[in-house]
This record gives sequence, structure tokens and C-alpha cells, in this order.
Amino acid sequence: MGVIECREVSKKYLRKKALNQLSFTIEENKITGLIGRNGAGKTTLLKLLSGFIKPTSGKIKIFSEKPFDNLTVSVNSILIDDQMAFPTALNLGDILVAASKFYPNWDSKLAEGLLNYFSFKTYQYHNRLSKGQKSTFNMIVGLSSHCPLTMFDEPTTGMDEAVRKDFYRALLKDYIAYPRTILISSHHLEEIEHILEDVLLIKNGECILHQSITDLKEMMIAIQGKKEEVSSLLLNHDVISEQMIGTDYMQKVIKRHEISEDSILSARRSGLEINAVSPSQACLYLTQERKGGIDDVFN
Amino acid sequence: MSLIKADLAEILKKQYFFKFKANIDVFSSLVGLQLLAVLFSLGGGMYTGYYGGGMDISMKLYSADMVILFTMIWALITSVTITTKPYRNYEFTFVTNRISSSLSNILFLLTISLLAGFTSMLSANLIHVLVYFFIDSGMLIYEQHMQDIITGVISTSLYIFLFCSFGYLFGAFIQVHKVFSGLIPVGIIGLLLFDGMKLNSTIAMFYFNEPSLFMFFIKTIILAGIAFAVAILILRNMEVKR
Amino acid sequence: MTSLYLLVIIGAIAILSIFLISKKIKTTYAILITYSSILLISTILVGFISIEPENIQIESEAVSQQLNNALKNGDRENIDPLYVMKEESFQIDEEKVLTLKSNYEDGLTFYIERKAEDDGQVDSTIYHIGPIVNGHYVENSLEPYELHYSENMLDYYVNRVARLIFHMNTSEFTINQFKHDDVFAINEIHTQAPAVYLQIPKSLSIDRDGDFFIEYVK
Repeated sequence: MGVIECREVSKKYLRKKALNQLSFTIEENKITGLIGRNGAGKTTLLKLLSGFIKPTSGKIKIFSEKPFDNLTVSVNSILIDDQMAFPTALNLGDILVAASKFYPNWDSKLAEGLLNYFSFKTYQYHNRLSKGQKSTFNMIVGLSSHCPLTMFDEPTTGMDEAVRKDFYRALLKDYIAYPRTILISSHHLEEIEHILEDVLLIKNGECILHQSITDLKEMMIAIQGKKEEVSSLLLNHDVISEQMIGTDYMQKVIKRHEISEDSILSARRSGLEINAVSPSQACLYLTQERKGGIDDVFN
Repeated sequence: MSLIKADLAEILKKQYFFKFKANIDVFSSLVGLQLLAVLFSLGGGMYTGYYGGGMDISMKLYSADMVILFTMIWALITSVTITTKPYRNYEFTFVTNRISSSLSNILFLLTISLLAGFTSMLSANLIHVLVYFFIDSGMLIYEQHMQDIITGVISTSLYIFLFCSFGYLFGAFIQVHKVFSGLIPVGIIGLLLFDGMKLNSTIAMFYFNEPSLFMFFIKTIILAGIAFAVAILILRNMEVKR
Repeated sequence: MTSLYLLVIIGAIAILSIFLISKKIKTTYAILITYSSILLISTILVGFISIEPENIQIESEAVSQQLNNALKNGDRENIDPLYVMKEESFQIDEEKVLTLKSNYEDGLTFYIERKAEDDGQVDSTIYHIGPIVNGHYVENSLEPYELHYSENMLDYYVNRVARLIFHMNTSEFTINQFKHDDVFAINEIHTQAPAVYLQIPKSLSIDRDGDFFIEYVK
């Protein structure tokens, strides 16, 4: 039984479809990356899972319960994003005290430690923090809540490089100590791929891929070389992406299982360069609208 | 990580206490408005004078009526405010559902109504003291029966609570669509003007002229209950947009 | 004395506020606590600065009527000493006519009782019902009236204008709604013209100079 179960979930805003017939299941205690381009429906999905909004059609089950207006889901889940609202009357210290009352698994020691580490003062006010500081503080709340379902929506917005690295490290360490189901949305997969177990890729509100990160790493290969040679090799293959390099050279991307090991070996021998495609590149290829990418606009 | 089964009563209690911290600013505005009303009340109410036969007597009545009216407006504004997006959203940062949010709001409003009713009644004394020391020090004839004070605190709190419930309902309508923020006041004023005395006197007979405190209590609970129930129904399907 | 009280109180509030703010208590709490303490102090203070109404809810007309009847009949034992303003005696010359004089023009009455013998002395009592404000008798210690005797003339005069300022609390509308007796606040000042009761020697003749009533007690 999965912690999150979605069956043909759709969400419409007026006439625009934000999510379209989305189905997937996320198992307990996994870190899943929710990847997609801007407007793919990541935020809408997370809000649905948090019970903030209602699906137009389809079924969502979180811990086997419908999340909308559900107290059990609310107590066991938390959504961290850059629009998290805190009462303006409370300073950071008060907010942490309030959160500790609401979330039964709250880890005060961790919250205090992180607050000190990122040099926050308890008397500061949330609405006077900078964008990056807000994200950092929200992340502290998210980690310390130790909710069985913890969701981060673009958690690193505005954070600088060092803080981002600290954050991912803190997330991983805390996850190992207290395993729980974690969902992180991002459009930078390369930034989070080292902590992920699974990737859920959505495009235009549809789930186009849901598999482990190791599978994704081996999913595609890029073949680079003289234009004619590459084209002739991949004549009958389903090319995911192609790109000209200068005038004579080009690179084409295909799925690894489309081509046999023998062909790869012979291609290598004939001077073609064959590289693995990184998960983030793979996701980029899977979500782009045209094979040629932005270059098509200029051709 | 093990699942925790949510207990509505437990969460209500937490939200209730949380709201006193989160909405603490309503108390500053209460103090500010009541002090302003006290200031306006220093002019006094009905005046009677007598001159003749070696006597020059002047006599003024003072009461906290103005403070109560101001407090009712404060109740209306406060309850509209807590239905607005920022106030609803920060509950969803923590643990809530729509019902528990509204129920804890109602409990919060009930508590502040009692507090405001109490300070409204006591503010009359502040008015007397200020008049005596700063306006003109005459003789203060002060007659107050314990029974009146208790009646006053109860009925004033009920009035304030009723206004809270109307504000909450009004706020809920505004959350559905902003157009209601103009439509409802215009509608109410229009209705009163159009129907004139008839509607006014019906309302007055039903509520403002109710001579029995017990019946007044029952009527307030029913009216406020209806307003809150409708507001809860409206807010129940409200999505969190942040 | 009262301003000293006030000074002490203001000082106490100020110290309390500073104490609260310095202890890093939220300003709002400090405001609320200060306001509440001001209200409570006012409530206590009102008890000190207000005058207790002497008789609660006097029927002002009835009181006047009673006093007049008592004086008319010379039945003075039952008159409330509250209404006695001044008692004086004057040595007079019985042989001459005594002229009563007054500049008071609002219904002053001289009640005159003849004594059993001629003792050369007039005993006077000024009766005055102090203002009754909204049914509360306010003791009149201002005594704006005086009797003066010289050369067979007894002059009753208003020596000054007594200025009285009253403040009164009135029930809020939220209380009046549930009070069945007087829904509308009546603001009423009742004053009663003073009366002078004279006990004169048996055979003294009386003359008058002024616009007032003279009633002889049987």
C-alpha cells in the first residue's frame, strides 16, 4: 500500500487543465523528486496532496484517506513552499513553539540547532526576512516537523549555493535518522539527484515517467559524430533529440534499449562518441516540445 | 514514521490558544478604539440646567454607549479580518481543516466578545474619572447596582458576539467573491431605505426591544448560530490559494 | 488631595508599563494589561470621587408637598432634619411693626406662628430642600440664603449664586433594554423654593416689603 495514491486525477482552473488524468503511487519512506518544467503542474499536484485544493476528477488517497479537508492528513503532512504564511504577530521563536504544539513528531532540538546554524535570531520576524532566508526558515520548519509525508515545493528558491548544499545534506541526514516519505519538486534535477531514490516527471499535467533514479541514469545515450554517420546509424531508431554541432557534426539522443550493445561497439570503433545522458538532461529531453529545442526557432 | 490519528477536540484546543497569539493585534485595536470612544464620550450626553433663586445647577449624564458602539464596529472588522486569506492560510501552514478552523474562530470570537463586553462596561468608570479630574470637577452622582453591571456585561457581550457572527458571514461571502464586499452593505442599506420604517421596526421589535435577557440570549445564539453555520458552509469548500 | 491620588496612580501605571515593556513582553500585552489596570483603577477610584446619593429615588413632588403641609400645620417634629438649613434667633422690639423683606422672587413663603407670650424674640428656621437630581437628594451645604435683622426689618436675601455641577452615570442602552421601569433616561432637577418658619411674640404686628407669601400657622 502506498502512502500516496493518485488515480486519474485531473484539476481544472476555469478552462485550463493544470493536471490531466494523473496516476501514480508513492511507497512509504521514499524520497521522490517531482520534476517538471514551469507550469507542468507540480505545485497544483502538491496542493492536491496537501488537501489545500480539491481534484476536479479522479481519486487521491494519502494514508488511505482523501486529503481535502482531512485533519489526519493535515497532522501527518506538511507542504513547504515560498508562499508559506505565518502570522505576522509571531516572531521566529514563537512560530517554532506554535509548530511544536501542532506537529506531534516535532524535533525541537533539530529546529533549534538549524536556527542557530543558519544564524537566525528568535526575535526576528518572518515577513522581514529576505527571500532566501524565508526559504531557509521554511525548510527548518519542514524538516523539524518530522511529518510522515513531507513535501517541499521548490524549496531552494532564493537560497545561495552554500545554503542549498547545507539544506540537501541536512535533509539527507535527517531522512536517514528518521525515514519518512519525502516529495521534493524542482526544475533542477541535477541539484537534487544525489539524494533522490525515485523521479516523478510530469509534463503538461500528465505523468510521463515514474522510476528510480538509477534507471533514469541508464535510460538514454547520446551519440555524437559526423552528421552523415550519426544519421545512417540511427536511421530506424526513435530519436528523442537531435542537435547540430557546428555545420558537420551532430548529436542525437536515443533510449539505450533501442540499440544493441554490438551496434554501440561498432559505432565506437568507427569514431562516434557515445555518452551516457545525465538524468537531468534526460528529463529535459523528455519534457521538451520539439526535437531540436530552441534551435528550431532560429532555423 | 508512524501515523498519528487526529483528534478534533485536541486540535481545536491548540488552534484556540494559537489564535490568541497569532491574532494578538486585535487587542491593540480594541484598546485604541475604546480609548478613542472614551475621548468622544467626555463631552457627555444629555444636559440639563437650572438657574434661579441663588442656584445655578448644571447636570450632565455620562455613559459608555459610544464605547459599546465603537466596540461593535471593532467586532465587525475583526471578524471580517480573520476570514481573509492571510489569516486562513497560516492555519494551513500548521494543522487544520475547514471545520476546526471555523470552530476555533468562533470560540476565539466568543472569548474576545466577553472580554470586549467587560472592558466596554468598565470604560464608563474611566469616563467618569477623566471628566472629574480633567473636564470639570463637579459632584459625581454614581449609582450602579450589581445586577445592572452583570446584565450589562452579558448583554453587551452578546451584542458584540452577534456583530462578530455577522462580520464572519460577511467575510465568508467576500471570500467567495470580492463583489460581495460592496454588494452586501449596499443591499442592506438599500433594503432599509426601501422598506423604511416597517423593516426597521420589525428588527427593533424582535431584537433591540427584547425585554427579557434570557430571550435575548436565546435570540442572539440563534441568530449568531445561523450566521456562523452559513459561513462554515461557504468556507467548507474554499480552496487554499497561497 | 484627589490630584495627589491621581498622581500616584499615573505614576504606578507608568512604572507598570515600563516594567512590562522592559521585560520584553509583547507591546500588545503591555498595552492590554495597562488598559485593563487603568479600567480597574478607575472603577475603584469612582467609589472615592462619587457622592453617595442620600436617599435613593426620592419622589421630589411628594417631598415638597409633605414639607409644605407640615409647615402649614406647625407640625415640625416630623420634618427630616436634612431639610433644615439654618436656625437663628433675633431680639426685637415688640412695640414696633416688624417688616419682612426679601429679594427672593421665586415663591418664598414665610410661615408665621405666634407664640403664647411676648418674649421679645423671633425664632427663625430656614427650610430648604436641596436640589433633587434625578431622584437623588443632594445635600445643600452651599447655603446661599441668609436672614438679617436690623431696625425692625427682617431681611431674607440671596447672598450669592451657588454653582453646582453634577455628573451622573446613566445606564448604557444594553442595560436599559432590560430595565422595565424607566426605559427613557429622565434628566430632572427639582428645586423647591425655600421656606422661612418664624415663631414671633404673641402681639407682634407684621408688615411686608417684597413679593412673597405669608402664611399664618393656626
